[in-house]
Amino acid sequence: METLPRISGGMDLPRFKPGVQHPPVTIALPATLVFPLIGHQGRALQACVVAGEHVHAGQLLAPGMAASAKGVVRAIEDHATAHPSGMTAPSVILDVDHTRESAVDASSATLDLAGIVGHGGAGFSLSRKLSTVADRCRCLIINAAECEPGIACDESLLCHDAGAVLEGIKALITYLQPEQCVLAIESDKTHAITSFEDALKEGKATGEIRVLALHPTYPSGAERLLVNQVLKWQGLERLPSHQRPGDRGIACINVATAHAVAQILNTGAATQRLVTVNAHEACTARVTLGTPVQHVLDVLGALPVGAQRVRVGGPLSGFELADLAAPVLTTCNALTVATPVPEEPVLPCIRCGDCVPVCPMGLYPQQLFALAQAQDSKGLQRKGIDRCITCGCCDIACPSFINLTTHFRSAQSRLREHAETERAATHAEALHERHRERVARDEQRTIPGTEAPTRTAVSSALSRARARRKRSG
Amino acid sequence: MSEQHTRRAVDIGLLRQSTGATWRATPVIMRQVILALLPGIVLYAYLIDARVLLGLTIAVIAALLFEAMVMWLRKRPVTSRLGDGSAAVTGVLLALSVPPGLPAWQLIIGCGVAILLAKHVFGGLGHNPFNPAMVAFAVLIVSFPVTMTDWPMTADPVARVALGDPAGTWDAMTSQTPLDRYRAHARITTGDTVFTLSSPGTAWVVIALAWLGGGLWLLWMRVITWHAPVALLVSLGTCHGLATLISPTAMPIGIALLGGATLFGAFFIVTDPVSGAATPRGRLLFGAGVGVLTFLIRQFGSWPEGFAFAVLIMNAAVPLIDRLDRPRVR
Ligand code: SF4
Ligand code: SF4
Repeated sequence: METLPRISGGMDLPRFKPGVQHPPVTIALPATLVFPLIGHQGRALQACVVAGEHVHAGQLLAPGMAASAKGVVRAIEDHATAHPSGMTAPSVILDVDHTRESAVDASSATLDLAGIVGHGGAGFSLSRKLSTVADRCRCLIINAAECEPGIACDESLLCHDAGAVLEGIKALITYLQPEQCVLAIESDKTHAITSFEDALKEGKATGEIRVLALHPTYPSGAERLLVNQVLKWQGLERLPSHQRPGDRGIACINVATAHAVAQILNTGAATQRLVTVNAHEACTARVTLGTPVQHVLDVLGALPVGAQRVRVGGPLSGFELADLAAPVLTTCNALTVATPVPEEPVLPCIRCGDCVPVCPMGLYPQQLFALAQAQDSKGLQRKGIDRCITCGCCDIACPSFINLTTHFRSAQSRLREHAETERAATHAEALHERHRERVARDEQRTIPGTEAPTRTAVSSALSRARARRKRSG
Repeated sequence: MSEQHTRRAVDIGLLRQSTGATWRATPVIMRQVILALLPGIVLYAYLIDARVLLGLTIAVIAALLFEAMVMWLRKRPVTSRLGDGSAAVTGVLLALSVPPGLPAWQLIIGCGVAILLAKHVFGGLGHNPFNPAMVAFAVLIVSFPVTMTDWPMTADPVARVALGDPAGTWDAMTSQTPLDRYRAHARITTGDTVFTLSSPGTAWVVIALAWLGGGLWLLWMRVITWHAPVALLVSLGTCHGLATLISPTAMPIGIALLGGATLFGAFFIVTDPVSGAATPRGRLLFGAGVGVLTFLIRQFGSWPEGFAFAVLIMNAAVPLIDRLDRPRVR
């Protein structure tokens, strides 16, 4: 094991890791499962099943979304989702068939990754991520860092199921053939590290996979920062801001995703994930994907009472859940049941600059905030808004209680939308331009003075063509 | 696990507290600034002129009243804004920048200028491009040049000896901060008189050191960062150093740094977050700019103290600095 130095910026937050001591509690299958048809970054998915269809676990319901249990599609209709905005989305509602799953022939299960969505924060499609580095993977990074307080599902996974994780990593190594594979984890998760190292010894893979210990600073596990830390450790140049990890042959994959790969190999489908549940008692729950939050909390006896609300994710990256019917999906790493704390009244920015040194990306949140308020898209881009990972460090540092990250998040989505419409507009313009050119060309070709081709003109052209064919024939 | 424990997973306020001494709310910052000024104020009252206490009281009350009035006129919650303490800080800084004997009505006008003209015309706390106390200082010194340069002459034998003026003929002169004395002296002495001033007067040095102490405490408490003060002192020192090399009659570095408003300004004026630059590199640039401009105005301008004007000019340059300073994105 090797220890990496602290990242610059970021914050040393309290290490609050609930529910790792005990093995995960498996939550029984609910009566219905819900699969919202939204992909990475809110893109709409097209369902490839119809109401009434029988599906089996692992069957694709839509590109990039697999059923997590056997059942019958009841309907495809609007349903609550676990989204910060509390929006509803068209979803596949699955009536679960509780009879025993016919044993899947695990031996025939190939590494079919179509249905795996990354279990990290962004929910990036695994197959796409792997395709960006296929054949030229230099380094495979397994991200086991979970630096936000209140979330401990990955730690729990390593503590209690390191063997399966290792299996998944080995499958990824076979697939990608990387030159090097490292597992990055914060140095203070000693239990998880020992557990994984034991698994390595058992699996005789000690030489194959290196364990890198990160300084437990928030957000050292953010993909870009992690990749840069590993690159630095390898003595290489860090990623310039326009490059993606894939461009340098680096695949950064969440440890829970690796576990999902193992699930596919063993059962033919990745159906479950671990979720940290902070309620009156903290625990880790093993939840079938698509299970409504309501059901999870009900089984654990942790439904919110009175003023309590449910929060998805941690105190920084998370959000309050509007509707408990929303399902647990791959990106849901924690559920917290608590009374929300009233937010402090926001004061004006006093330009104190406290937000600058804490930004792990080296941005100037204060200037970004001013530019976001002025809706200056050009300025925002010049000052690197698209590099902001919305980690929330600047929020914590700000003495005026400004929700900087919220502003940045909406500015980013606004800019993304803008770029999207811009692209559509350019495309439409190009089409229009081509059309105009064609019209102009056609006009030029018609002899001035002549009108649209008349009947005689057409028949004479036909006879000319016939004569030509006869000649050549 | 109790609700108290669960809160840790939702409460960003607890995370704030957990980051400890590095984080405090804006009102607390303002209180700490005033606290840092206290030793200097006490020494000022004791060594130079006790009237400064009266001036401070008048200025703070006037500033708070103006602030409350504007808040009431702008139909904003009055108490919350008075609580943020920024108006009180402005009053204190202004009272410490003007001569202690300034007539009360002039001081009150200064406070009005600072709060109304310099701050609220631009939108209140956080939006003022110019340092309110310095705007007020500039307006006052232009409007009341006599009273604004009427510094008290104290029984300061060291200074008098150092000035080579044992007879106390300088009593006739009214402008009496070390810098003013120096300038007045330099104007009178003919070329062949070797000017021996090496100390700007113990009382003023002691006070300057008190400002320095308060500033270092603010640094230690991480209320301010080192960038602007250090850049200011280094650039000012360098300019004066070069000037002494070129012409022996130029103001010595010791006076330049310990006299006048230099240390007070370095730690309490150029560190004003609102009207200064907000990034480390921006602050270096800002402080250095103030230093160079102060030197130029002191050396070639007609005002006895160029600091306020230097700050105002650099305030105007902050948007430019902000624009030029691109983040080194990681
Ligand atoms: S949220 Fe964005 S701007 Fe704020 S600290 Fe994180 S990366 Fe920097
Ligand atoms: S920390 Fe808050 S008040 Fe300070 S500069 Fe940043 S945004 Fe402004």
